Amino acid sequence: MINVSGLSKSYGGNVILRDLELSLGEGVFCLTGPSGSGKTTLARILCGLEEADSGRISGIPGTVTYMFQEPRLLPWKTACENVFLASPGDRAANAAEAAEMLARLGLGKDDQRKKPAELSGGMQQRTALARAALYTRRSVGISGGGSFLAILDEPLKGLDSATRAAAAAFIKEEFASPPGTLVIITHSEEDIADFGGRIITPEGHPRQ
Amino acid sequence: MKTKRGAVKAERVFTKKKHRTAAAAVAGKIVSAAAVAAFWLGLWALLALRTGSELLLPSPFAVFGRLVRLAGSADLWKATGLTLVRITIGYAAGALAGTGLAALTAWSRHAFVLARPLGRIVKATPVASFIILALVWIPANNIPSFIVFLLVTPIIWDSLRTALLETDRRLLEMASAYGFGPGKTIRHVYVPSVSGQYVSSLLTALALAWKSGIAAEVLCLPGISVGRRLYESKIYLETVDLFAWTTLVVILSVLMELLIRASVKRFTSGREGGADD
Repeated sequence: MINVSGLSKSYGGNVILRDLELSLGEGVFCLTGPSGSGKTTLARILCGLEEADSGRISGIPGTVTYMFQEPRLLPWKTACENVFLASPGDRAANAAEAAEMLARLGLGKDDQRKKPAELSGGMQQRTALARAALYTRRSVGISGGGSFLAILDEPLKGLDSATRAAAAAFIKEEFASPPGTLVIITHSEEDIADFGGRIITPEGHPRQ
Repeated sequence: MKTKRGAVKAERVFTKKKHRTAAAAVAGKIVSAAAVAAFWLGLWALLALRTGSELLLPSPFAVFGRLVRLAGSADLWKATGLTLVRITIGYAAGALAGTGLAALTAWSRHAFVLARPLGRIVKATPVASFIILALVWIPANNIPSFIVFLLVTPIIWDSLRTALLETDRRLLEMASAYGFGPGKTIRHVYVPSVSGQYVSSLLTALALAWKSGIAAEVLCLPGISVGRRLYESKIYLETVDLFAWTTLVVILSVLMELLIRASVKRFTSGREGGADD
C-alpha cells in the first residue's frame, strides 16, 4: 500500500499540493481534476522525478513506471528501438517483445522501423505506451515478481476511436492486474468509464 | 486560389519530381566542383597574366608545375610528414583536452568558474605572443604542436560544453525515469544530441590548427618543416615556391577534413546499424 501523508508542493508562491493525504492499494486509479490542479506534479513526486516541499510517502514499490504526457522518444532511434532500449534485461528478447507489443498497438513492421519524426502523433503516443509496458514487465521480472506502480499521464489523449480501443485494451492487459497499482491521469469521462477503478483527485479526496 | 491578376486558378496539378540516381548525383557534384575550380583557376590565371610578374603573382601553371617538381624530391615528403605529425599531435591533444574540459565544466559549475578565466585568456592572447613565449619554454620542434593544442582546446571546449548544456532536458528526464545509467544516458542521449555541433567544432578547429601550426613553424623554424620552406621562400623572394608550399598546405588541410568527415560518417552509420544495448 502506497501512503501519502501531509504532502505539499508549491512553485514560487503558487501552492499546487497542500497537505495531501492519499492511500493507493493494488488496482486501478483514475487521477482526475481540472488543469493546473497538480495531477502531473503529484505523479512526478510519486515517481521520484520531483521533490515535495514537505510530507511523507511510504510503500513505493521497487518498479515505478511513468509514461509522460508527451511521448519523449529518442529522435535518432526507431520506434522499436525506443521501446526496447528503455528496458533492462536481454536485448534480443526485449526487441522481440517490443515488436509484439507495438503490433498489438497497431504499429506494423514498417512503422516499427520508422523514427519518431516519421510517425504520427498517435503512433508516437502508442510507442511511448509500449515502452512503459515493456519497462514495467521487464523490471518486475528482474526484481523477481513483486508489485509495481505505473502512472500513465493521459495515455489515450489524441487517439482515434479504433486505436484508442486497442490502446485501452492493451493498458488493461499489461497494467491492470494485481499486484500492481495503475494510476491513469485523465480528463476524459470516457477514460474513467473505460478503466473503472477508484477516482482520486490531487486534493486527495474521492470525487463526488 | 487567386493569382496576382485576380484570376481564379481552379486546379493545381502536382507531379512527383523524378529523383536522380546516386551515380547521376555524384557525377553532377563532380561536374559542379570542376566548374567552380575552373572558374577560380581561370580568374587566377587571368590576374597573373595581367600582372605579368611571377614575383608578384605567379600563374597557376607555374605553381602546379613547381609543386609537381617538388613532389619528386624527398625534402617535400619529409617536411610534409613532420609538419603533419606536429599538427596532428597538437590537434588530437587539443580535441581530447577540449572534450574533457567540456564534460567536466558542463557537469560541475565550480569547475567551470575555476577554468573559465584560463579559456578567456587563451582565446584573447595573440597567437604570436604564445609562439614567442613558447620559444623560451620549449624546444622549437615542439612549439607548433603546443600552439595548435592551445588554439584547438578552447574551440572544442566552448562548443561542446554549450551543446551538452543544451541537451533536451525532457529526454534526460525520460532517461532518468527509465533507469538509464550514466553510460546508457551518455551513449543514447548525450552523444547523439551533441554530435552535430561537436563535428562542426572539430572541423572549425582543424582549419585553425593548420593556420596556427604553420604560423608557429614560420616563426620558430623547426629543423625540417613546411613552415621553414615557406619562410625560406619569403627570404629568397621565391613567390612560386611560396604559392606551391601554400597550395600543399591547403591540399593537406582539405584531405584531413575529408578524413574526419569520412570517419564520423562511418562511426555514425555503424551506430545506426544496430550497435545498441
